[in-house]
Amino acid sequence: MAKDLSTIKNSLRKEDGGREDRKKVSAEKHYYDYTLLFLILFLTCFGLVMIYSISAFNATKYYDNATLFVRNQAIFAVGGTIVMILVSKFDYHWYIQKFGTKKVQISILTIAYVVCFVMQILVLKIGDGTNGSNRWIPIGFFKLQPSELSKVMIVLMTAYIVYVSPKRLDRFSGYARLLVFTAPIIGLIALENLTTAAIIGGIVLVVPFVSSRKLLYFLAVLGAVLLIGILFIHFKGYRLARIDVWKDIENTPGGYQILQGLYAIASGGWFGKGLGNSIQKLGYIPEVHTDMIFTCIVEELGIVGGLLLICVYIILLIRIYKIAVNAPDLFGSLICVGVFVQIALQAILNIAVVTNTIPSTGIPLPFISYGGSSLAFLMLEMGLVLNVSNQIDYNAQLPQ
Amino acid sequence: MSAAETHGTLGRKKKKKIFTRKMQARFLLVFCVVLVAFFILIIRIMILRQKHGIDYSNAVLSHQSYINTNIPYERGKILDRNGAVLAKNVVTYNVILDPSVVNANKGMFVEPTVNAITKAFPVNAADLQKILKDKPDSKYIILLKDRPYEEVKHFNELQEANHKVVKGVWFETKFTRVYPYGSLASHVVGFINSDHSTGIGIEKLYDSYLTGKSGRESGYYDNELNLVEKTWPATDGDTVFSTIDVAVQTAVERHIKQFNAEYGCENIGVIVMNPNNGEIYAMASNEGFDLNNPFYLPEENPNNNTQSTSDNADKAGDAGNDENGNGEGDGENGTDDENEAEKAALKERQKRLDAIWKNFCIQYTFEPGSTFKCITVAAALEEGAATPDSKYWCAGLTELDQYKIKCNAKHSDVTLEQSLMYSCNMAMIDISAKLGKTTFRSYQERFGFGYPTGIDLTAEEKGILIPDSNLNLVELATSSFGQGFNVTMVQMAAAYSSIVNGGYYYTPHVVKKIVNSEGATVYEAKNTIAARTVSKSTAEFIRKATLETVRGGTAKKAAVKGYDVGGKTGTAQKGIRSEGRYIVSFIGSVPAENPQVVIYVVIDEVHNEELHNKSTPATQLTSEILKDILPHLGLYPSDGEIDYGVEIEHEDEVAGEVTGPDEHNH
Repeated sequence: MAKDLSTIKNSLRKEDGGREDRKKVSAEKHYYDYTLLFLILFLTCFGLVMIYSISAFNATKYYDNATLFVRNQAIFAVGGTIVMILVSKFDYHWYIQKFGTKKVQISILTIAYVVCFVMQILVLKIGDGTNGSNRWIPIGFFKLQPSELSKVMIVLMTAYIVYVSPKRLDRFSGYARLLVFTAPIIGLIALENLTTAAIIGGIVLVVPFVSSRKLLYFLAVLGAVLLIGILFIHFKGYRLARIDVWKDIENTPGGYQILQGLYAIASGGWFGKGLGNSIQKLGYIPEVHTDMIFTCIVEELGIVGGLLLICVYIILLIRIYKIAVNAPDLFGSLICVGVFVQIALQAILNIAVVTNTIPSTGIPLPFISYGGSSLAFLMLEMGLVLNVSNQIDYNAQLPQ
Repeated sequence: MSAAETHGTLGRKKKKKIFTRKMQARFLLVFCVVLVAFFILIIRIMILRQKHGIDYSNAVLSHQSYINTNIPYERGKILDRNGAVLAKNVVTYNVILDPSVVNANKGMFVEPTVNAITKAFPVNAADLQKILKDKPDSKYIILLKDRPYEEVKHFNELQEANHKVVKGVWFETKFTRVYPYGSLASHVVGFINSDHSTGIGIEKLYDSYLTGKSGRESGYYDNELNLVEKTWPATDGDTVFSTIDVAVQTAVERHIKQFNAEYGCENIGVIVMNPNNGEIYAMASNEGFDLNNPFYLPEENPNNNTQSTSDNADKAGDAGNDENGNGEGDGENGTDDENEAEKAALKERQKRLDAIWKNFCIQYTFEPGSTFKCITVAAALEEGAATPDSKYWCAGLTELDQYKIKCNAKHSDVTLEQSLMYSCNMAMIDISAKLGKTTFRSYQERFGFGYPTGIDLTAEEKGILIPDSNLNLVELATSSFGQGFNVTMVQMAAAYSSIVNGGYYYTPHVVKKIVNSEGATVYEAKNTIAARTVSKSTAEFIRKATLETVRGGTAKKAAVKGYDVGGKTGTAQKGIRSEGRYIVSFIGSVPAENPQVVIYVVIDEVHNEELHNKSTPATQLTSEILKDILPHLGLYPSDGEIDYGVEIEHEDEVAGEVTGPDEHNH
């Protein structure tokens, strides 16, 4: 397709003045979104600084090592960056290329799908309980959170299914076909981590919504999803309690963590108390360096700091949006849409939780929160987006 | 390029699928929703700040005192060489008032609480009522500082009897530094203020050892939201063992007081030290000052009842800070002129404080006079410029470069030993001329003159030597009998010790060792030899000559019955020669043959017409001090009895030992 386009443009050029040499050279040239790469690295480094500032007290207190958390995170950041750059050099079509005998043809995506499925079942059985729910599978020294892998897989899977036949989505049956593939995984994830399931659900909802020409039935699906969510909440008692907490944060005992977070946000002022000067990080906010990190960023860097961070997220999302629009084919665009949805949802939900805008739930702030697996897989996804950007042809970028 | 192929195949089979305009529009819609969501969150954060900013900031502030509390460490003690406590700590209490609690419940707590406080503590009800009225919502007011346990106990009893209505008062415990001996060895022990900025002596110099590490008590919430409390204990400061001997120091200071009562003088300093390792047994400088209240000036007592003085009297350690605080507070109310006057007064006050904190033994330089002759003779013996058999001629007067230099008498023929016994200036002039100015200067330096000795006390002076270029014939001559250059007492004592102990220069020191709170020794003064000064034979000669000086020379009054005291007197003119002001001194060692103790007594301007230019006050005082302290130091008189009544021989000492170059003579 890209070639087709370039041929047309070349012929146009020939008419213009026929400078073949220049065409040949530029045909080889591929775009690479360094701005996006910079933004990712900036956010990660900013995250490291904030993790150090915020975790040093607790790390010294419990482990007698102020740099413990920041060191762990830095290892994952470096590893993640390497993975990201490698992935950004692998053609994303490779994941859906079929291989095998003529009768049995499988792709890497298919294998990943099966692996995720197995791991999600496995995690329910042997998972290592960290926060009340079972979310981890220990692999050697490393604790894998299979839902993170599932996120990547679902992004690719959804993009692929829609890419194969976008027109089918105009009917509900087409969307149902997508759900047949994704729902089992989402269901399994929902059993142990409703929030991640909701984010993946968001991907599965938004990607077809973007590519379909119909609007109405998506609203129906959205309603159905909400209904399922509410039912789920009724099954799991503790999640209902969180809603009570949300309604009256100051007087409900379970609201301690969020309330302390609110103290941090409200006490920071416009320009904050200065890097390293947070008081709330000194043992008052549980999990302060993971899901609650945004509260102390605002306490230390102020509302202005929080605002700038949100701006960086928005610029990052603009870059992903641009890549999606200019991607060489629909598959690449849809991958970008999936990643876009995931990052936007995570950032919005995290900030919404810590500001008590919605009931509390555990979502890390992308690129910033402490958590190796989350960061590594996020970077892997950014690798995919960077690869899409890498396949944008300069010639295709000419005015359309 | 398998990927490219795939791409290619897909492309060929069906029509190439792209991200259509319509899809782009939909995606833009999604983006807009995201932007709206972010916008809502930003608004939410601002509302939080607007609505709860003050409440929540206060909640955060209250955390600091609520869950994180500081556990104070105990400052290390200072002990004397035998373990007597020179500085220790007592627990005191700060009284904290919480007016918001006292004023609660329609004021029904106010009266009983005020009653209980005024009964237990020295504070009047009107002041208390004023605080409660002026700051009704405050939660933390330090009402009183450093109150003793008895008062707190009294209050607790009153509160227990009336616990329903006595409310809003609590206590912070705190360590307060206490010096059981008051002014004893005040310049050596020293003090330090609460922010560790102002101080002198061991307290200041060894502050890093004496200071411990505060502990912390902190609570946090675990995953199940239970409050878990954790304590990190404080590490107390290290204990410093001084070389000072309380008994010796007490005797020395008692005699200084007696002397001042009898005669009086401008300044007086006494050093008692061990010549064989440099340990200082006693170092007294005038009458000292009360370490428990170092910012107190005696002259302010009778007619000065300003706030700052009474504050200072209350809390010695914090006085430096409080004073600044008061100064600023008053300045705000007053005009600029008052402000200036205030500043000048403070400056003046600081000057006077510095004067009483000044350690005469290490911070005051003076011309040593004839005591220095021992050093000139020792140098000459070392260099072969004189031998024990050398003979000198004293005509009682000599003229150098038009300067007339007098001796204290016409001694005629004198041997080297007699030159010390009778303190003959003419012999010294001959000796120094033979030594030459370069050698003489090198010996001055070898004995540590012109350099700080390195004693472990604050602000040691280094003295002033005549610059090489100015050390001409006359200067060399006067230098030989200790005039024309300045030394400190401790330099002289250390140099003399190094001669009588056989030629080993030990750095004088006041700290023996430091032991940490677990009992391990963390520092020990090493008795290393800083320099070799003279040979054993020279030392032998000087020991004998100084013994003779006390037996039959100028220092007879320094003798103590039952002991062999060796030593040398000094009477030096001070400042402008015609003013006739004198510094008299005696330096000596006991027992003369094998010295275990070196004593140096310097009296600056004796307030007595007859005695002001005689070394008698110094020798007499030395004798009295030695008699008291020697048994404490394990040296007993040869007859086995401690004699309490030394006969004072009324023999006139030769007047005007030294008459330096007189400006009016030419």
